[in-house]
Amino acid sequence: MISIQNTQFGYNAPILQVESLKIDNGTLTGLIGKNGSGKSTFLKTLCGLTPVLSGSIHIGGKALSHCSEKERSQLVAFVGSSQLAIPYLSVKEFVLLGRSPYTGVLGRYSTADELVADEMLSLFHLDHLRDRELAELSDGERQLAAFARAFAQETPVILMDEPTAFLDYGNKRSLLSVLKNATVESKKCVVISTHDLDLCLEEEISILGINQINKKTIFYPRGTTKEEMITQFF
Amino acid sequence: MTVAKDRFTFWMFALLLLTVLCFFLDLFVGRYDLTFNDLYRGLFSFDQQETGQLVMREFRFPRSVTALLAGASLSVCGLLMQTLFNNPLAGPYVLGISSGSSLFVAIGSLTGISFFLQDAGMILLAFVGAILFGGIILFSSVRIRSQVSLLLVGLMLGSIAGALITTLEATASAQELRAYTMWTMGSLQQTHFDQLALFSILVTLGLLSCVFLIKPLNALVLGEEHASLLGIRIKHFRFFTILITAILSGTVTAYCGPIAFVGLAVPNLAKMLFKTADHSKLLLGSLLIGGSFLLATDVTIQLLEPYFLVPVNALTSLIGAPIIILLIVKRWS
Repeated sequence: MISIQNTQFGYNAPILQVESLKIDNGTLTGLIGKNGSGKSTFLKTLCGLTPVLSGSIHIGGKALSHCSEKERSQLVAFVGSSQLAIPYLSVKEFVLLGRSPYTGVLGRYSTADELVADEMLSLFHLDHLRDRELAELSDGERQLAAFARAFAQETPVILMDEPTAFLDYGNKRSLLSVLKNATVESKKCVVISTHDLDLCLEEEISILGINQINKKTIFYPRGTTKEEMITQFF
Repeated sequence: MTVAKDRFTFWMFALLLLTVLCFFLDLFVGRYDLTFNDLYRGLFSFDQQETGQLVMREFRFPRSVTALLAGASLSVCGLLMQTLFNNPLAGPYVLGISSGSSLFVAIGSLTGISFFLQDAGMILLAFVGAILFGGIILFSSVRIRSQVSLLLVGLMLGSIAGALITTLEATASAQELRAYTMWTMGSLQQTHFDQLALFSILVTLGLLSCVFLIKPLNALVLGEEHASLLGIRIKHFRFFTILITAILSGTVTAYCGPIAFVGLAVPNLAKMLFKTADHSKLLLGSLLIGGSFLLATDVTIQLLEPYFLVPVNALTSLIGAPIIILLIVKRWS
C-alpha cells in the first residue's frame, strides 16, 4: 500500500502536489495525464530515485526517505519506459536479476530464487522463451519479461512508466489483462502510467488522474464520465 | 539452461587447456632449447652455473608469468570498464587510463628522481596516474550520456598525456629518453624473478577482489537506475571498480608499459563465446582468454625474433585493432 501526505513532487520547482492519497493492495491503477504533466516524476519519486520536495511517502508503512537501497529494493520494483534489448542476456537471467535484493554479497541465487523466477516465467507465459536472448524478443515479449522481473522482486509495490507505449493495440490489451490478473492474484499494488484511457476503462482498471486545471493534484475521478475525464486530464 | 551450462563448461575446459598449453609453449619456445629439468631445477634448486637454468629462471619463467597475469588483468579491467560505462568499446587503453599511468611514469623516469625509478615508485606513479585519469573519465561519464562522446573524452585525455610526455621528452637526457621509449613499446621482459612476487601478489589480489563486483556488475547491465532499484549502492560500486581497475592496469602498466587493445578485444570475445551477461562467467572467461592471448602473442614474438624484433604493444595492436573494427562494423551497420 502506498500512502502520500502533503507531498510536493518535482525537480527544482514543484510540478505536482498531493494532499492525501492512498493506493491499496490488490489493485492495478492506471495513472492518466497528458505529456509533461508529471507522471514520470511522480513514479520516479515513488521509487525513491527522485527525492520529494516536501512531505512524505510511506510504502507498506515504511517512510521511503529513510530506506537504504537494500530496504527500498524489497519495497518497490520499477519497470521503465525504455526497452531493455540487452545483448547476451537471457530471459531467465533477466528475471533472476529481480532476485538480487535477496542474494548475498556474491550474488548467488538460491533454489528458492530459481523457483520464484520459474513461477514468474509461467505467470507471464514466458516458459518457452526462457533461454532466448532479450535482444531477440519482440517488443511485447520483452515487456512481459520486464513484468516477470519486477514481480520476481516480490515487492508490495510495483511502478511502471508507460509499459504499453511501444505496443500494438492487440498487445496492449492482452498485456493489460495479464498484468491485471497477476496483480489481483499476487495482491500487490501496481501503478502504471498510460495514455490508453479507453483500455483502462475497458479492463476496469482503477484510474488516477493528474488534474491540469486545479493546482495539478492527483485524485481518483470516481463516478465521472469518460468525457469529463478527458476535459480534466488532457 | 543445461545447454547453456554445457556450453560454458565445454569452453571453460577448452580455454583452461589452451592457457596451460600457451604457458608451456611460451616457456620452451625461444633461442635456447630448454628442458623440463631446467624449469624444475631453475625454480627449486637453482644453480647459477647452468645456463639452461639461468635462462629459465631469469628470463623465460618471469616473462611467461608476466604475460599470463598481464593479459588476464588487462582483460578483466576491460570487462569492468565496459559494464561500468555501459559501452562495449571501453577499456583501460581507449579511455585514457593507461595514458594516465604513462604520463606519471614519464614524469618519474624523465625527471630522474631516484625514488620513482625503483619498483615501488613506478607502481605508485602508474597507480596514481590510472586512478586520476580513471576519476576524470568517471566524472565525465556521469555528465555525458553518449557512448561515443565518452570515448572521445578518453581519446582527448590520451592526447593531453601524449603532449605532456613529448614536452618532457624534449628536455630529457638521451639515456632517460631511450629507457622511457623502450618502456612505451611494451615489454614482458622487464619483470625479474625477484620482482615477480610483488607483481603477482598485487595482480592476484586485484583479480580476486573482483568476486565482490559480480553482483553489482550483473545488475548494472540493466542500467544505473535499475541497478540502484535492485539494491546496488552505485556510488560505492563506481569507486571500487575504478580502484580495482587502477590497481590492475597501474601495476601491469608499471611493469610492462602500456599494452593496447587486449582490454578492449578480449571481453568482447568472451561475450561472443559464452553468449551470457553473467559476470561470474565473463570474468573467468576474460581471465583465461586474456592470459592465453598475451601468452600466444609472446610466443609469436619469440618465433619472429630471429628475423625481426616486434614490440608487444605493436603486435597486440596489429591483432586487436582489426577485431575492434569488425565489432564496430557488426554493431553499427
